[in-house]
Order: sequence, then structure tokens, then C-alpha cells
Amino acid sequence: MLRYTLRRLASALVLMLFVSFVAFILVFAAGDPAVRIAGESGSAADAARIRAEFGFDQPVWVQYLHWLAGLLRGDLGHSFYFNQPVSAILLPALATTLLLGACAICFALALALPLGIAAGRFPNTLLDRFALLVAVVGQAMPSFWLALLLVIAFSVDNQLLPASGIGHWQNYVMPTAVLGYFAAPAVMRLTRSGMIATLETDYIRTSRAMGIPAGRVLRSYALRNAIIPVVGVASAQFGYMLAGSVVVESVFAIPGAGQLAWQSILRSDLPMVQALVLCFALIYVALTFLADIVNAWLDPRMRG
Amino acid sequence: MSVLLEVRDLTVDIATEAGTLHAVQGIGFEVRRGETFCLVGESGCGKSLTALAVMGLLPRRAVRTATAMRLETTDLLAQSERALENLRGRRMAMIFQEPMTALNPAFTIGHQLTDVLRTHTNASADEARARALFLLRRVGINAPEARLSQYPHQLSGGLRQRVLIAMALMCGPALIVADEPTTALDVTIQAELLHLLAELQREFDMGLMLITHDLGIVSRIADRVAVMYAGQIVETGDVEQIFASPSHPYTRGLMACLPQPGQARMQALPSIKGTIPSLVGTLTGCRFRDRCAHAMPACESDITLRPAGAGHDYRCILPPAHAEAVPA
Amino acid sequence: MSDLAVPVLAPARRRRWTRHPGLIAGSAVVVVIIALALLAPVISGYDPYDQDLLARIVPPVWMDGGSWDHVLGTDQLGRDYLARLLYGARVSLLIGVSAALISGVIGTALGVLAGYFGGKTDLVISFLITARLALPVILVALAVVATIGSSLTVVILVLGLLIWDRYALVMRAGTQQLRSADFITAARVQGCSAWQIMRFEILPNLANNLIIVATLEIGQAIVLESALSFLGLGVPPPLPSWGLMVAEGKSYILFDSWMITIPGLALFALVLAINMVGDGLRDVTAPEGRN
Repeated sequence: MLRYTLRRLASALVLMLFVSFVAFILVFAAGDPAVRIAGESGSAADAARIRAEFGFDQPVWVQYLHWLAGLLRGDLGHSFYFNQPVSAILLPALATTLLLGACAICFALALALPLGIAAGRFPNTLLDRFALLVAVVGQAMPSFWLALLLVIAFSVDNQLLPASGIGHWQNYVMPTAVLGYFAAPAVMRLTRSGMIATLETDYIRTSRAMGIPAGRVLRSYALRNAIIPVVGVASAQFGYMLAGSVVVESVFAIPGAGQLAWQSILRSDLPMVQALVLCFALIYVALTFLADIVNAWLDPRMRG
Repeated sequence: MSVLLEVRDLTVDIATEAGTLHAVQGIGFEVRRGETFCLVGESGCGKSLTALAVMGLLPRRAVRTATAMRLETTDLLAQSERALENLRGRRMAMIFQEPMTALNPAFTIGHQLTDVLRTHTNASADEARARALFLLRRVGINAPEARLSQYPHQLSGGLRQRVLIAMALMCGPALIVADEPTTALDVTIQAELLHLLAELQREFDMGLMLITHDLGIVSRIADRVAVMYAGQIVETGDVEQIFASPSHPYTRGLMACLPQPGQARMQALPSIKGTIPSLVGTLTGCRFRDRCAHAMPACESDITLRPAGAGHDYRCILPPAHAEAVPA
Repeated sequence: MSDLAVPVLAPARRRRWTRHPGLIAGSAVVVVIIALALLAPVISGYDPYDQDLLARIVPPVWMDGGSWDHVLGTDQLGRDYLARLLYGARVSLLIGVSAALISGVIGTALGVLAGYFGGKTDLVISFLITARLALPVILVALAVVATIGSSLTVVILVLGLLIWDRYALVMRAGTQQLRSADFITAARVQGCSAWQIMRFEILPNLANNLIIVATLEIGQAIVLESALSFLGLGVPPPLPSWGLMVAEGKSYILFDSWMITIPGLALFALVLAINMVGDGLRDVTAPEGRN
């Protein structure tokens, strides 16, 4: 178990290094950032000054190493727009997004797991078709449209929930629902197929042949087997959800990391953009790493 | 010996796209306490479904009917699913063919063993553990303490099957149904496990219903035998009767296929030509007639079981018991 | 992503095609939308770029103040809504199919190479796939479009270069399965080059998987484009994009919520239909029932 953990940790670290490089390179995607920051009204002299000031005149890999060294010291860079350290702005925003994401994934699991288990237990019944309908609709519906529909229904037509901000818990209801519904279908489908496959195995048949009551077979045995692949998917979905939060945060005016990323892109606040892309990528890598470890713990065959 | 399991007119039908598949057609047999009863037949003859029907573990699409199915005094047909769950593992237990997949990979051997006992009795964790250790030793696993905390993937196929035998014995059932328990294992381990099963059956005074396609196994371990073909029992009797005077052409064909010591080398192994008939739709007459050298017009009508000797029945209109087996 | 069964799929049987309600319904809706998009100039006489500042935000015909002049009303610049909706269908379909094609080429190439050669090639490509999965796609797309400037071509290229991961995963798994098949060994023994084997033996056998993934990716590309346009960094105005229309309608949410509902509904219907086609194809070619 320990060796497996260390191996996975090593590959996770290599991955993090690679994505950090990609995140850094991103802003150099097309042309000279100095020119872009100087703007349309800037002159060549302005651009040159900016270049020198921010170090763009150095080779890219040197700039990357500077940045990386800073990261390891905890310095995420200096925001062009706010004229403050990136971390001062980014971390509170990230906390908001993570809170929203946590609520959303709980909602998603609360919706998807029971539905998936029930659908897997009773395949090809009305319940199953309903579950699949929920999944299919969730995968097709654009999140911004669902968000706006909810706003229309609950804020405009009936003043039940606030449409923006994060002051009260009510603010989190609609964003959680939209974000969670985005992640639920994949989890539901996998739980369902995992349940169907598990209930057909020889070892579940053995349990039934030994007279273990059907309810307990489902809860204590089959669930444990079926849940294994779901852990991986759920954590990946959490990662996608965080990255996709930009849409939801924009509709509900939530000052989270997604919103910050969008605005920073529009403002050409390069250090902020680099740091945010890096953060989201790192969170994903960390989540999948943790999921692998949990998987290994759940499935004894995967250890060592 | 008292009758442990009585089955009369068991039928299993399966709905398929092409029509109803009559997998088991009106078979009847008895298993007595202290006796090993073997159900023999080739793949697809319905013997596994018979075992599942007895245990009440048929798949959803399969429909079971019978005029009688009794485990000692309990009518198995009249039991609710909950009552059947109570019986399974406690008074009747089943061992399946494929040990590699029959144990749950996410739980320890000890957990799976003790859970059976604790489900059916109010044994404590220690008592269940003690019983598990006792049985693991009894089925020939040395140093069982270590095995309790191991996972199935850490055991070989033979060991896993021993664990499954121990699991079946946890509550001391009266009837064991074993569906080809050694087919998936090495020949050397086969012999050991069969010997073990026979010993256990005698020691715990159980009834053992053994399903197999291997006549060699039957000759070594059975007390009574029923030969199945295409969903019907075509011959039934004591093991000596079946081997000494096989009366149904199919049984005789099976006997002829057994390699004999002293057989001349380079002699072609006899086989029964043809394949089993389709079991879909209405079936009439002798199911074996397309492969039988002695088929005649009278075989077109349904044939009942008739006696070939005391306690020896067969389903053929030919006279019983020629001295030597005649290949088809 | 991981709900796709990866076994190499059997050819669909004609009977199962016609019996699958989801497949039929989805295909019908997709065909209708394609037809509507192609017949846009015939159905609506208006040019989607024509502004009529005297007739702004006219509601659809079934609401108060609506008229048959503009069946679905007009937007904030007086442009006919039905026209923008129909021409918007062209944009969505064009972007969806193009992006799916580009990402298909990239993903299939990577997946087949990784699955066929294994070893270091597989290690590198798998690493690339994982790295791609770690990156927040929307943010990266937003950043690139903001940097380069938005246009139809840019959006197509950015999406195409980003969403190849599912192709790569499915093709890789499928190729790995086929690699050990006897007919592949036979081809190698006959002296076929790796390229020939991949082109003539492996790819045709993975065609079913490829079509299913492609269908689902078209849907994903359409949703992604609409999200980008909604955030103002997708298709540039005045091009009619459904996502953009929803964004423009957001300011009028209090009294004219139809400006949001209608294009969103169109998006939902199109993506739903496409997904149903993809799922239906998977059901029809998979050996067992839906998983």
C-alpha cells in the first residue's frame, strides 16, 4: 500500500510540474504579452518598457524557472490589475469556489448515488428509465441556461431565492443545484452499470446461496464492490466542476475563482490567469491522486 | 436412510426471443441423508438449472414448477423468499463450479466465513471465528489463522474451493448441492477435493447432491445416480446398477466413451455422434432418437420411465440391461 | 467519459436500428434541425444581421405586443429572432462538426499510436492525456481566444485542439484490445507495416466506437462553444450564436425572459437529440443492453 502510494505520488508530482509549465506558457499563446498589456493605444516604447519591467525580455524558460521558484516559496506572482500579490486575491476567491464545489458535489452524490443504486437494482423498470432520463437531460442541458431558468423561476417570477451574491446560505442553493446537476449524470450512470455488473457476479450469487438476506447483500457487499470505480469518476467530476464553475459564478455573480479567472482574462492580468489555471489543474491532480489511494484501500487487489 | 430432498415433476422454462426454452422437463429424484446422489449429463442438459431450482436461485427469466419439492418436512415451493433465505446456508448449501470468482474480492476470507454463521445464528464473533478455523482445518488448510485475514486473490483455486466448502458447512446443513465443484481445477486437486467431500458427507451425516459430467467421478463417489439428457432424466439407479447394466442408449454411449485401461493404442475413441436437440417449443418423443442407432417409429411418442431392475429405471422402449455397453 | 463501454463493437443489425426509440427520435430531431438550418433563408425572409432600431425587443407572436411580422420577436437591436435562431443553428452545427472532426483526427491518432505501440509511446501519450484532463478546458479556451482574438475559425480550432481526450482514451483502449487479436498477428507475420495494420486492420474495426464518440463530441463542442459565447469569448458578434443570444438576453431577464428561454431551448434540444443518437448507436452495437 505504501509503495503504491509513493509511486502514485511521484507520477502526480511529475504531472503537476508539466501542467505548471503549460499554465505558464498559455499566456504567451499568441504574440507578445507586453504589446497586449500596452494596449492599442500604447507605443513601441511603452511595450519595450513593459517588457523590461516584467521580465518578458528574458527567454521563456528562464521566466518559467523564476515563476516556478516563486511558486515553491509560496509566491504566486503579482497581479497587474490589482497591484497586489496574486495570493491575496486568489485565495479567498478559491475558498469560495471550493465551498460551492463541495456543496455541489454533495448534492450531486445525494442525487446520483441513490438513483444509480436503485436503477442498477431494478434495471429496465420505470425507475430505471427515470434515472436515465435525469442523466440524459443533465448531460444535454447547458449549465448557463439551467442557471438562468432557475433564476427566472425562483427569483424573477417568485421571489424565493436571491439571484446573486454570497451573503446567506440561500445564495448557495441555486448555484449548488446547477453545478451539482452538471456532475451527477456521469456518477449516476457509472453507479448504475457498476451495480448491474456487481449483482450478476458469482460472488454475489455465493452470498445469496449462503442465505444472506437480499437487502444486506446489496448494502454490505454489492455496494462496496460497485462503488470502487465511482470514487475515481466522482473526483474527476469534482475537478471538472470546479473548472466549469466560471459559468455558474458568472450568472450568479459569485466572487469565486472562476469569475476571477474570467475577469482576469478580459483584463489581461497574466499572473492571475497563470496562477488560476495552475490552481485548477493542481486541484484536479490532487483529487485524482487521492481517489487512486482510496480505490486501492477499497479494492485489496490493487494494493502492492 | 431418511429422505432429505424429494423432487417430483420439476420443470424449468425460460422465455427467450425464439420461444419458450424447456430447460428441465418434469424430472424427479430423491436425495437421502448419508448418501451421495450424482446427477450426470453433458453441458446444456439442464443439471445446473436443476440445482439452482432446488435452491431457489434461478435467474429472473426462468419459471419453475413442480408437484413436490421438499427438504425433509419443509415444502420448498411454499416458502417466501425470506423463508428461503433462512434455509439457504443453514439447512441446505451450494458449492459452485468456479472458485476463482465465487468469493468477494473486497472482503477477507474470515469475514465471509463468519458472516454466514452470524447471519443464521446468534453466534458471537469469537464463536464464529472458532468455527471458521475448525472448518478450515477440516477441509485441509494448514495454518488457517493466517488465511482468515487474507483476501481471496491471495489464494489459489484449489484453496478457494476448500474455503467455499468450509463456508457451506459453517451452519452444519443437512443437504449440500455441489455443481461441478472440481471441473475448474487440476486433476490432482480434483481427486483430493472429491475425497474430502465424500469424507465430510459421511462425517457430518449429510446428503450430498453432486452434479457432474464426469462418469469417472461418479464411479468413485456416488451411491445413487441419475443420468440427464436434454432436460429429462433418462436413467436412474444405484451406481453399481448403472455401471454394470446401463440400459438407456445414451448411458451406454457415455460408458463407451470412458477410456479403458488396457485399451488398444491408436484405437479411435468412441463418441456419440450428433448434438443435443433444440429445447425450444413443443417437444415430443424420445429426445435422443436423432443420435440413437436403435431409433424406430415408436420413439416418436413420449416415453415414460420404466423399471430395469429394483430401484433402477430408464426411459427407453428397448429391453433393459445388455451385458456389455453398445456405442450408438 | 468513463461511462463508455470500450469493447470493440459488433456491426449493428438492421432490426435493432429500427426498434430503438431513442435513436429514432434523436435522429429525427437532428435531421429537422439540420433542415431548418439549411432552409433558413426560405423559412425566414429576414437577414439575421439586419438591424431595425424602431422595432426592438418585440415579443414573439403568442405574447402581448407580438405580431406575425416577427414570429419569434426581435432582439435588442431589432434583428428578427427567428432568423437569428435559424442561422444560429448553422453556427452551432458548423462548429460542432468541425471541432469534433479536428479533435477526432488528433485523438484517434494519439489513441491508436499509444494502443498499438505500447511501451514508451503509450507512457508519453497517456501522460499527455492525463495532463490535458487536468487542465480546465473552459479557462484555457477563454484565455486563448482572449489572446488571439475571437472568430469562427479560432473557436473551431481552439475547441478542436482541446477536446480530443475522449477519442484518445476510447481508441487507445480499443486498439489495445485488438492488438492481441489473431488477425493482427497474422497481418504482421505477412509483413504488413505498422502503418498498414493501423490503417487497414485496426481503424475499420474501431469505426463503430469512433462514430459514437464523434457523435457525443459534437454535442460537447456545441455546449462548450455556447458557454464560451455566453461569456463573451466565443463566436464574435454580430454572428448569431445561441450562447451569445442567451447572454444578450440576460439583461432583459425581468420582462423578456423569452429571449433567454428560446435559444437555450434550441441548444438543449439539439444537444439532447445528438446525445440520444450517440447513446442509441451505442445500445444498438453493444453486445448487451445499455450499460
